[in-house]
Amino acid sequence: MDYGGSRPLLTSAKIVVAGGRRVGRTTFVTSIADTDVMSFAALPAEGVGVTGLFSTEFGRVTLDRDLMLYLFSPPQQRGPHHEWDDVLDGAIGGVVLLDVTRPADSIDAIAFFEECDLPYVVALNSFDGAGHEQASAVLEAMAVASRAPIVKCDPRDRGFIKRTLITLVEHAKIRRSGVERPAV
Amino acid sequence: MSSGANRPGRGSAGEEPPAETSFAELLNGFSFDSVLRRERKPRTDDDAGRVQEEDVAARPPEDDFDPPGEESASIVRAYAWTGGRTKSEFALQVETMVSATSAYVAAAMQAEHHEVLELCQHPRSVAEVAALMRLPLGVAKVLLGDMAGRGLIDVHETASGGTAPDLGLMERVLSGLRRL
Repeated sequence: MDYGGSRPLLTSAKIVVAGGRRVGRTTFVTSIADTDVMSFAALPAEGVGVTGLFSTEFGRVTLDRDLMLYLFSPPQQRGPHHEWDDVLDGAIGGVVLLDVTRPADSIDAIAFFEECDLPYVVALNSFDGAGHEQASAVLEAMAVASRAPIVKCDPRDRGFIKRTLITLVEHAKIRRSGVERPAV
Repeated sequence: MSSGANRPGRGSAGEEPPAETSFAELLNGFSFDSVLRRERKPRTDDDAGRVQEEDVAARPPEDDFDPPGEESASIVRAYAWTGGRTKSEFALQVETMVSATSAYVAAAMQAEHHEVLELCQHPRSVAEVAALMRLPLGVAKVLLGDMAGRGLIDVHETASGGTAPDLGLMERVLSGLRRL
């Protein structure tokens, strides 16, 4: 991009990708980002490399000539290191990836987004083709008072990811404009 | 036109850095590598060692940190490196884009500045600079804030100033996603 010396006018936005271990957070980011997935740590990465327990992975999605969307996947463990604050401040919303066979792994992320009142969607990672019925049962069993949309998402599939993100932003828009989404 | 055109340090390449106690000043004594490797070798660089120790004494109380023992040294180093500052006057979020201004050659004082400017010939987010330079996020923010203060980089706008993004921006993001 050439800005010809004039003051550049780029805008960036971000979405937080969360969920339990091995639910496909990195794959989710990789499948749609137009950069390699990168990571940073809140602390010096000496000795452990940058991809340690406390690193935040992220990728960039160029939406327009002047508009970038970043997907951040902070470490699952919320330590005293502020990564979560850094990625939550000003985020459009969150995606909670949930493996229907291991739903409890993602309940922390759901609870956290509820707690900080961040709009989110639950993306069911159903590799085995489990449907929405099972998902609803799972979420009910978890007692998630879910006004959050629930979508099916194979994190290897760009189309699913795109639809997941669209659902999230639409949901965030509705929340933002003060119109509550009817309970599902 | 970038801001800060009249700031010190924008003149000739040989000019001294500003007299303020800054990140850049602290950085004079030691390179990125020496900082990153310090723990593995005996301390032979007296200057760098002294700066580090002075700064440890001067840094604010650890109200925010509850560091596990092994990480304490790293935190101390990060503080020393950034002059104890953890905040920048610029609103730098992880997704904030920065790009090199055209005035960069004369005003870039440090090797690290040049490295950032090379990276930022194309706009990069704060997160990307941290990742590509293998810097802790807080250190990258202070470095970039320092460079923005010197007029070396432009800071672009984010969807929010730390609050919820506005509807117009969300609409643009939606349109962009639909076009993907």
